[in-house]
Parts: sequence; C-alpha cells; structure tokens
Amino acid sequence: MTEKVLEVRNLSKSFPGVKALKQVDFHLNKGEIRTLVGKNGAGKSTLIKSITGIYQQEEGQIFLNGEDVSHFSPEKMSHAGVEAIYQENDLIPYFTVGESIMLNSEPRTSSSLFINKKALYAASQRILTEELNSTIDPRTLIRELNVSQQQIVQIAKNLVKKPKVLIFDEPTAALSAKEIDNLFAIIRDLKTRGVSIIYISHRFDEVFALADSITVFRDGMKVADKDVRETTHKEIIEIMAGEDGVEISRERSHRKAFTEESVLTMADGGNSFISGISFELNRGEILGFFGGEGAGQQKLAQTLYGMLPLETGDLRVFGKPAVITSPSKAIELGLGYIPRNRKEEGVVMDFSIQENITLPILPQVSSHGFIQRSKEAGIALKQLQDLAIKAPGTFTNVRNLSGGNQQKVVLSRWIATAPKILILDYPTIGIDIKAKSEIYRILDRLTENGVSIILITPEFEEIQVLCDRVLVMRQGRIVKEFASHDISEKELLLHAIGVSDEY
Amino acid sequence: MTKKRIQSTQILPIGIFVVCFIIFSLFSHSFLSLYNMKSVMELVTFVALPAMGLAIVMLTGYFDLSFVGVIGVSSVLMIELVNAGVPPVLVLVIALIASVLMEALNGFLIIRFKIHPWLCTIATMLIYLGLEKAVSKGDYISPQGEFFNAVRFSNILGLSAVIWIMIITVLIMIVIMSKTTLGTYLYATGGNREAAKKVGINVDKYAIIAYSTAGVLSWVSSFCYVSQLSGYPPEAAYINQLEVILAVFFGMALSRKGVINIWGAFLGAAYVGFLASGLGLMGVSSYWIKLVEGLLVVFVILGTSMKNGSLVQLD
Repeated sequence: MTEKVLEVRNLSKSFPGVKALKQVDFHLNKGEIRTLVGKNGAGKSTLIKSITGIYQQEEGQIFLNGEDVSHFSPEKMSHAGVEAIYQENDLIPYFTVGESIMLNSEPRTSSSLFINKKALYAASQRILTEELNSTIDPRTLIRELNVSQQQIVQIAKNLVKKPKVLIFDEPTAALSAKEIDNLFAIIRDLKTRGVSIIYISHRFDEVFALADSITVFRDGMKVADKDVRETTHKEIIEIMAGEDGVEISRERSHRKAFTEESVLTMADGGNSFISGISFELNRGEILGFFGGEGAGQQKLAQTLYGMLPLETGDLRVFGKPAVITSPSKAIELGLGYIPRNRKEEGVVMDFSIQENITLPILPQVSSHGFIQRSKEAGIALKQLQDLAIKAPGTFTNVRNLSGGNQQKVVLSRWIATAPKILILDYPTIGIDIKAKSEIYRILDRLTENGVSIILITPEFEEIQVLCDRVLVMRQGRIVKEFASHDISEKELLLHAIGVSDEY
Repeated sequence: MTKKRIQSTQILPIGIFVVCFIIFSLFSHSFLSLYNMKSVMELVTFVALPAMGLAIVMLTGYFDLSFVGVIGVSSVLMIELVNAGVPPVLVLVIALIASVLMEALNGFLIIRFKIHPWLCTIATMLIYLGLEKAVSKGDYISPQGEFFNAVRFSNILGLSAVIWIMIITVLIMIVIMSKTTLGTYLYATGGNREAAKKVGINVDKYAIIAYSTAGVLSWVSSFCYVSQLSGYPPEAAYINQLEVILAVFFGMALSRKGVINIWGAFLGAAYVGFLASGLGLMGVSSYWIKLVEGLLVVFVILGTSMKNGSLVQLD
C-alpha cells in the first residue's frame, strides 16, 4: 500500500569543522506530506540540498522510485522529478507570470525557431487555474504580484516539470493567515494527485495541521520519525531539544555581578516591525534576545541603533530621553552594533586590520583631517594583543583572516570606541568552537568593566553560558522573560514557537 | 611580514610596458628625445587629470561619464568670460563653482532619486555637452588676452606649467586618499557601504563629496585644455573619454590589492599615453593604432586576472 518514492540511506555530509549530517536514513511515501523539524543547524537544509543534488554526500545513497540517484546533479535531479521551493524566490521581476512559469520549457512554433507565446500563455493559464485554483493573469509582470502570489507562481513553475517530490523550505514565513490557508489547500490538493511533499517549518501549528508525519533532526542526526496522529507538540519539542546540554560549564565568571543600574530603558516601543516592547538593560549585564527567524530581535536592534525609526513608546539612555535617528547618533550616546552579516555589513574587506578597527574613531586618531598612522597602529596593536587576533600585523588585509578573526576585528573596532552599550547580533555565527569561547571571554571581560551587552543569538548554549537574563520574542513582541539560572531549552523553544498554552 | 614585492599579477603589465618601451626606442630615434617625452607628458595630463576624478567616484562605489561635458562647459565658460573682460581670477573661481555644481548634481540625482549612475551621468553628459556646444556654437573658440598664453609658454625647470599642474595634483590627491579621514571614508563607502553606515559614516554625504571632487578635477583639466590648446576644440575631452575610463581600470589591474586608486589611475594614463605616442612614432598607421592598443590591453588584463594561486595567502 505504501510505496516509497524517495529513500535516503546512511547519508553523511561534512563541511570544514562540522559534521552536518550523520548517517541519516530517511524515506518519503507516495502522496505523503512529511515535515522536517529541528533547530537551526540541525541538518534539515543540508539534507534538502543533498536530495536536490546541490550538495554531494560523502557517504550513503539516495533512491528515487527504486532507482539510484545518489550522485545526480541538480539538473538531473530536477529531470528525475525532485523540485524544491526555497524561501528566497528566484523569479525575474520584469518577466510575465507566463514566461516565468514556462521558463526553459517554452512551447515552440512549428518552425521551432520562435517561442509560441500563445501556447505559452495557454499552458501557464491551465496550470494556474486547473492545478492551483488561482486567478492570477499569466500576462501580469512578476513585480506587480504580492509575495503570496509570487509563491503560487513559484509552485506553478515547479509543477510544469511534473515533479514526484516537491520540497517546501519554510514557505509561510512571509504569508498572512489567509494566504497560509490557501497554500495549505494547494499542498493538500497536490497530495491527492500523488505528489509527495517535504515541508520544512518552524511553526508547530502548521506542522500539525498539514503533515502526515514528522521527522526530527538534532545535531545532524535524524532522532525521530513520528506519525502526526500519535504525537504531541510537547513530545516533539522534547525530542528537538534533547536531554544533553544541561551540564555546561559556566564560563561567565561574573554572572550576576551587574548592578541594578539601568543604562537603557524602552517602554512600550514599537514601529512597523515590533510592538509593545518594554525592557531595561542594566550596567554590566548581558541581556539575551531569543526567538525564531524574523521574530523581531534584529528589527529591535536596528531600531535601537537608529536604522529604523521608533514610532511609538519611550526610549531612555542613561536616564535621559533619547531619540536615535542614525547610527552616528547612537555612537554618540555610547552604543555599538555588530551586525550578523560580518562580510556584508561588518568588515571592509579591502582595508587592513588597523583601518577596520579605527573606522568609527578616525577623528580621534587624526589631527586636522590627517590620520596619524602611528597612533592608529598603536590602538590596533593593543586590540590585536588583547583579543588574540591571529595575524602577522596590523597592516594585514582583513580579507586574509579567518571568519573568527574577522569577527574579533569587528569586536575590537567597537571596544576601541569605549562603548557603554554593545548590541551583538549572533556574533559567533559561522566561527569555530575555539574562537567562539574566546569571544565569550571577551564579552565577559567587557561586562566586568561595566559595559552592557544586548546579545541576539539562536543558540541555547550561548544564552545559558553568557546571558544574565533572556527575553523571548515572537511576532515582534516580547513574550517571556527568564533569568538565566532557570531556563531550560524546552521552555525557551516553547515560548519562541508559541505553543506554551498547550504545554 | 609585510612583503613589498612585485606580485606575479604585475609582471605581465610591467613586462609588456618595458618591452614596448625598448622596441619604441630602438625603432624610433625620436621616441626617447626630451622633446617627445615632454609632449607625451602633456598628452598624459589630459587623461590623468579626469582619470583621477573618475577613480575617486568609482572607489566610492559610483560611476561618472559626464566629466567630458563638465570639462567642456568649464572650458568654454572660461574662454567666454575672459573674452567678456572678467578678471582671470574671478573667471577661474566661477568655472570652479560651475564644475563642482555640475558634478554634485550627479551625486544628488543618484542618491535622491535612486537613478542608476550610468543612466544619470549619460543624461547629464548629454546636457553638459549640449551646453558646451550651445556656447561655442560648435566652433574652436579661443581666449583673448595674455593670461592663458602666459600659462602655455611658461617654463619651470624645463617643464611646462601643465605638467607641473598634473604632478602637483597627483601628489595632493594621493595624500588626500591615503592620509586623511576623508580618503578613508570614501574608500569605506565604496568598500562596504553597509559597514560604513553602521560605523556612523554618512555615506550619502561622501557620495556627493566624491562627485564634487571629480568636479574639481574636471575644472583643473579644463584649465589645462584651454591653456595648452589656446582654446577649446569642440568636444575635445569627449574624444578622450574611453582612454580615461581605460586608465582607471588599468590602474586597478596594476595595483597590488586590485583596488582602484589614484596612483594606479595616473600609471594607467601614462601607459595609455606612452603606447599611443610610441606606436605613432614607430610609424604604425593611425588606422592600426587602436587595434594594437586594444590587443595590448587584452593581454595585460588576461595576465592580471589570473590572480588565484599567485597571491600570498595568510590564515
């Protein structure tokens, strides 16, 4: 009765320093909707990319309808019937809907020299109305569609190839409740027509509403396969969090050393991304922010740093009302901000270490507009030693440093400004465990000297090891506050995902 | 640890240059003459000055094609004002203000209305070239009086004023770009706009400053044109436009970091000038000069783009 469409056996894949997938077995039946859940970095995306041929596994096999497709390229996989719809859409904004759907499958005129536009629009119209029950006109331009309509076009584009397996990677991130209902109807309809679906989501209500079965990943391993009728939110979260990770050495020596002296207070702050945000940051404290992707932590950080306007509510810095309209205003008030995208928003790759470090304090190392290189080098050298940045000298190009050392350069840039409040957005992303613990020590030392830190991180370990308190965010709001000593990962996840009522 | 050595990517361009230089001096006895060297330097001036302006705009992350029109307007403005009896100092000040405003307008339009730099500066180029033509009526116009002639026939330590102007401008620009906060902020804006914003740099302001600086250099260029040519032939700067762009890219390919820079733009201009002069003196027909120039550039770029594996890697 159950016919296996896709089967993965003993799949392993590693990246430098990380074992991303460890001997994973996985299967998908015909007409089944299977969801993949797990924390960030648990291995879901790696599995998807292996199945679609983007990654080549070191070990293990992949079968499609019994045929070995283990080392197929993405093109061959697509030809064999595996298609994926990723979060970021790859539609060309100035193409029409029909052209986008039929891209690379265009019907030809009888001479086969030209595209048969009439047939192209007829075929795309048929897919849209019959298969997706949509009223989108295939002659509309992509850029005139909203996100949800663009997603339907994405699906239509994949249906042209008559896929056997269709993968959705967090498709609902940008959709409203009604649009989600519509998408689910489409997915269920695909299922009745025998298409097998893999669905990745962080939202448990969706998982339970849509799926037939749930596969849980943790640390690159498949840890459970559950029938959706035989499990609960609670059980899945327990499996996701795992039982280990409780005994972590407390690296933060001066925990609770902070004084109850508020350096930054926000009362009922809001704008188009966040609302009703109230919290205070104490001197010498590390305050963690935890939440799912897009829960509002980044937007809050950008608001504090003057990159987004604070439209409602009240902000006080060192007791005085503050209106922060630009990063330079924020810097004046003693704030520093380390964005998540080190390469895109952090370092200037063509600059040397010392030029990168002194960028925000250039006027201080200059007289009459002329940079005093010796003074600059002195500041940079001190940082280089204090933070143990591994580089031949302060003139070394940042491009030639490892990710961890680049991050230390960004950190030292802000330390050199003698900030009072530092906002860090996942400072340890993509760096190895040794550099991570060094960064933890640096942050710890900063708080000893009275610096207050706002730390956005998706890693439970970091919250446990570093933070004094943690605020959980969901849909632009703060939903829960924990003191660091009584957090469990399960509880944190429950609040971030939003199923606390049933727990 | 900071090795200052010639990298393999630089060997080919330098090699080609040396080989060309030797061939030119062997096959044309006048190539190495002092007279020819001076005239080549004057030729280089007309490429190097606008090339530095363009380099600054490009290293800030933008582009400019309109400088040829700005030079044109500034030149005809100088000539007409002098001929109208305005004192030379005032003429220069007015032309400077006009040049800076014309370039700053580019920056303003690009930032305020988010117009693509190419589109914007092609449009303003057409406007400025049109303005130039409207004033000159498409004729070669010349300034009256002694002021520009005095500059043209001046001789300081054996070099004409125009060459000195270029040398001094190159030095000033190098100092500004490598030793001042202004230079660093311009580089930071072009190197990583988002990172620059986050350290509190007003990136839009520096875009306007970059274009304005290009305006100043266009003004200096126009002064050199009017002095050296005793007037301004229609669209004189426009004819050199591609050589200027070439000089900037060439300079980037020559640089150790592969980054656009002032010294590189100057070297690129010198390369272009020497090649054109040498090929001409060797008797290469003017029909073939562009073809040969093009081929040499392709060879050099091929050499410099084979970067990977040859650069010193640290980690």
